[in-house]
Amino acid sequence: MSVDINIKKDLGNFKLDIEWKSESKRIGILGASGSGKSLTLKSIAGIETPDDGFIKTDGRVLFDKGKKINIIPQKRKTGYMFQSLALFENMSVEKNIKAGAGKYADEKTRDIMDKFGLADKASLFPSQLSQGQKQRTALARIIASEPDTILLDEPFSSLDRHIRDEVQTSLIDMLKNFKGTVITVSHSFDEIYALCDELIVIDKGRVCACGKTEDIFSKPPNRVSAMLTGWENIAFAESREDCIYIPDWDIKLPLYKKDVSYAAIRSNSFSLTDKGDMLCFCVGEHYIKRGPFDCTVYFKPSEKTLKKMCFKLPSYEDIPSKIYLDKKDILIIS
Amino acid sequence: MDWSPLIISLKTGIVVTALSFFIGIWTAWKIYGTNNKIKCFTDSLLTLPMVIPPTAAGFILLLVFSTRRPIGSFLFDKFNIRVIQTWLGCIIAAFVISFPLMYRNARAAFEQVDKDVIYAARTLGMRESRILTRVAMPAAAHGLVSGSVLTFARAMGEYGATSMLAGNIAGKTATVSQKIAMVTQDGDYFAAGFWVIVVMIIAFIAILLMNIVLSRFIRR
Repeated sequence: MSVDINIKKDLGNFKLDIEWKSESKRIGILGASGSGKSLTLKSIAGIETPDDGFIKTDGRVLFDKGKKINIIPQKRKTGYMFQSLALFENMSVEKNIKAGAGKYADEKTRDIMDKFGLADKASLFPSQLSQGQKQRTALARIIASEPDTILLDEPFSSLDRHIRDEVQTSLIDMLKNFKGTVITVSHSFDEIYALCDELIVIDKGRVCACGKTEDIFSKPPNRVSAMLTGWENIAFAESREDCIYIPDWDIKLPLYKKDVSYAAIRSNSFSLTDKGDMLCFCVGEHYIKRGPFDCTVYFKPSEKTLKKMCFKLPSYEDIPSKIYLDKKDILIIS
Repeated sequence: MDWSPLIISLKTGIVVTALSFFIGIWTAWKIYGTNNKIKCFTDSLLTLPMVIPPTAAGFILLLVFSTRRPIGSFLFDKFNIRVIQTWLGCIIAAFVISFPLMYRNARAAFEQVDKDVIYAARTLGMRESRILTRVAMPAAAHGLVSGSVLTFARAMGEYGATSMLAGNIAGKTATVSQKIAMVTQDGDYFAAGFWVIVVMIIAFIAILLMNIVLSRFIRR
């Protein structure tokens, strides 16, 4: 088991109650701001102390309230990459990396700087580096400390969009040779999708979904997971005697399960042509959110409702009067 | 010309600043890591000497270190250490009064340091003493430098507690502040003015040095 966690922490106005096990070496934690994902990560690193429970990584007990075990952060062997990167501003790149390198620090630092392409930046201070170089220095510093687990807290949120992809790719590349567990926390589903094999979704301090990343993205088990994994259209659904009815969109679907709460549709599931037995929506009054490479059209799928639905188009010049949707593309959430 | 008041004041200022620097930083660092309740209590206790009148602090010290009382007599009997009317008295009085300045500045400076940087150092496996000297102190350098200068200035100029504990013995415990008070009482305004100018020059140099050091940090 690479991670086995069961922790509780009461912060007065917020309660964290996380229970999750995972075999995977690349785990993602997805959650909205204030959902408790960073608190979970900090508890693993020993920066925060849970009120109760236990934390095990790779079979090693880091915290166990019952057994009175609470290993200090220095001995946990967890490398934490902060959102702010938390580089030591008064130290050069070389000294930053050497700071946690322990034995054979000089050799190790030299090797790691070579691998991370920082050899020519050794004497520079963090304030003299680009955002991407800072990111590399922060990761190099963590790798030099030889951790068993790397914790990435919103690793790309401080980056400008134009360098985010580049840094993300190089981070994936640099982590390729890391044999330990990597836990990434983010509120951005595309970052999580790119980095993680297994996913935990946290909502209001509790795990609301966990499983293979692809599975949760394709079939989120609840509304929060659907929202966080990029399902743009979500509406109440109810099971009737003979059908599943979605009042906001005025859609009836064959009744194939009774336990129904929500329906969700991805905005890119819509089609401009009817491929047979598809639902048809008239795009009447609408507004367009323009993006650089596509646009999102918001329209009312039914006269009976105020709730809008959206679909994506490659261009905003030709808005169709009708749009089609395969019923199979409607996800019914229990 | 008897320069002894200046020498005694400078010696006292330097020794007290050095003591306050190390003890103040260590105390501030320890208290920075504790919970809020302990912080409130210790903060109030350590700041007290700065708030009460120096003569009141001097009176308490006089009671504590009197050879007729347990601590004073213990020090004298066991180690032959006398505090009252000695230069050691000058140091203790100035330390008690000026230590809160160093402590409070150091604590405020540590509070300003990005907590993530300290946490990062811990997760990298750095020892606490190394985190303090290599990470926290450089990051809090502004506050520590200004705290040291204020402590030095306060220790140099200490009058109330020093006069109560150490007295005003020429060449032994008479500091510049005490000299100014004494010559003014004697009506020697020329001598008083001279010592005031000396004190002002020293204070100016200390603040100037502080600004030069701080501006170097800012440039970095």
